[in-house]
Amino acid sequence: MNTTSDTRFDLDLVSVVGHATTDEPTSVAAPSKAEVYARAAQQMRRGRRVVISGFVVAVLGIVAYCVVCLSAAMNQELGSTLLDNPGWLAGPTLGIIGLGSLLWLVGSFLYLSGGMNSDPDGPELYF
Amino acid sequence: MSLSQPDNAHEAAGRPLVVHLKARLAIMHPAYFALAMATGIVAISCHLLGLSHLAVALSWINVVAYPTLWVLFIARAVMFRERVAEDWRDHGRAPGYFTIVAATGVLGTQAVLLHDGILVGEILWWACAALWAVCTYTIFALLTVRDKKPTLAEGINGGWLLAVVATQSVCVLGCTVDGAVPGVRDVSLFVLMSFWLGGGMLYQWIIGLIFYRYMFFPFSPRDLMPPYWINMGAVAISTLAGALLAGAAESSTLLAPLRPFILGLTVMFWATATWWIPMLLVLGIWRHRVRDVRLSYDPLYWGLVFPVGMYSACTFQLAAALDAPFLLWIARAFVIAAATVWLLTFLGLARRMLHAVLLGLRRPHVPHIEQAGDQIIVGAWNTGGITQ
Repeated sequence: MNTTSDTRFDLDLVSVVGHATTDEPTSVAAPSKAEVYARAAQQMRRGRRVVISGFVVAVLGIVAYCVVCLSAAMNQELGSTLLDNPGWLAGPTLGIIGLGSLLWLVGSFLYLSGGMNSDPDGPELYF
Repeated sequence: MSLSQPDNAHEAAGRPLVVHLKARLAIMHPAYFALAMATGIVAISCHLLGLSHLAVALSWINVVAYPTLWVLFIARAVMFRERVAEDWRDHGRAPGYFTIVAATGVLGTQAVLLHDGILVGEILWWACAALWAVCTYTIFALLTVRDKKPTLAEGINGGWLLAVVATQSVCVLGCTVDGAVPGVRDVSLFVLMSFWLGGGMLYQWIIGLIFYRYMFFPFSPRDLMPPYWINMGAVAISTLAGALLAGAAESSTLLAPLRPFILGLTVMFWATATWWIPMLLVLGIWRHRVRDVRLSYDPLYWGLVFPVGMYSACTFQLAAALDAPFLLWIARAFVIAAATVWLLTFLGLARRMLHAVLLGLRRPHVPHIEQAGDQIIVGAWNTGGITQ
């Protein structure tokens, strides 16, 4: 066992977690009301931003998907050359719709759970 | 650190979700089948215009949504019998039941067009016709004989035009299965044309009252509910029914002489639907921008998605019936709008469901003592972890 390296490890650990080597009994203080409010409000702001991003991405995705598929259909009907063969773009645009929807849901989760945690008289979530 | 919880904590953990769901079920709007109507017509519109992936995805969502809504409606009827009975006599909520008829018709049309389910379409046509008869003659009879009635300003809203949508949906599904029901083709087409004309007449009666209410009674932003888009949707589905009927009449000895009349009336319905669109957009801007009504999810927004999808589908079919390809540009523009508003409304619904799940996952409101080190925190779970 290399004592030197163990000591270095402990020092590194202390530098990361701060006062980790004390032998005194630990005391876990609950966060203050102001801290809980601030954290929840920040989570709600972040959630709102993600929801708006998801909204924009999903709408852009669906418009792009419709334009791509309608162009493909018109190419077949009229032989126009708006886009030579845009059909292959349908998959990626569907992916964009999925991504936007996912962002929306993640943002909603952050927003709603932040809103619930901001209630100091209400119970916590499980996670 | 030790945690002490009562033995029934796990049982209590599920209660918030159950309580929340029961509360939502109790106030569930009878017009919730508009979700299936809207999803189905957007799927059909996407199918007609070549958006095949979206059409298939939406049609499968509808295949799940339709029976789920039936389960919820039956559960509500069993658990909240009084409320359901009151809904049937309520001028504001009763017309919402017509969405069941229309959703059945749209699902049948979707089954025929997207899944080649002719037999399913025929079965759903009979179900649709039976539901139409029950809803029409129960709702209008109950509202007629009711002792206490609201004023016109309180009682009328765009949802009343769902009676027209339900009537026309019977005609649309009947034409989609090419007059295979209820029997001999010519007789079937005559019956379907009667539905179409009856629905058109119902529109004249109801829209007159709605327009009178618009012009001569005070109008607050709260009065302008999303179902007002049915003002347009009802004539849009009348256009779709007319265009399909005109197509079917070509090969019918009985209806062939009436085809110019059918086409002329269909164009009139389409023109009326088109007239409503700028008007509804202006009123929507007034409601949300000028009067600052917050735009948030409401199940009644499905009543907005349906007309937009229907306008796209009816314009496509009218373009085919009149051989007017320039109309296809309008159908294409509106299918994009329909898919977009469907997605946004669906995400609103998903968010509402997520909210319910989060409520269900909240810790039970159970008092306990948590000891951490030498500090005692009483009821930390109940206070969101805040020291008292």
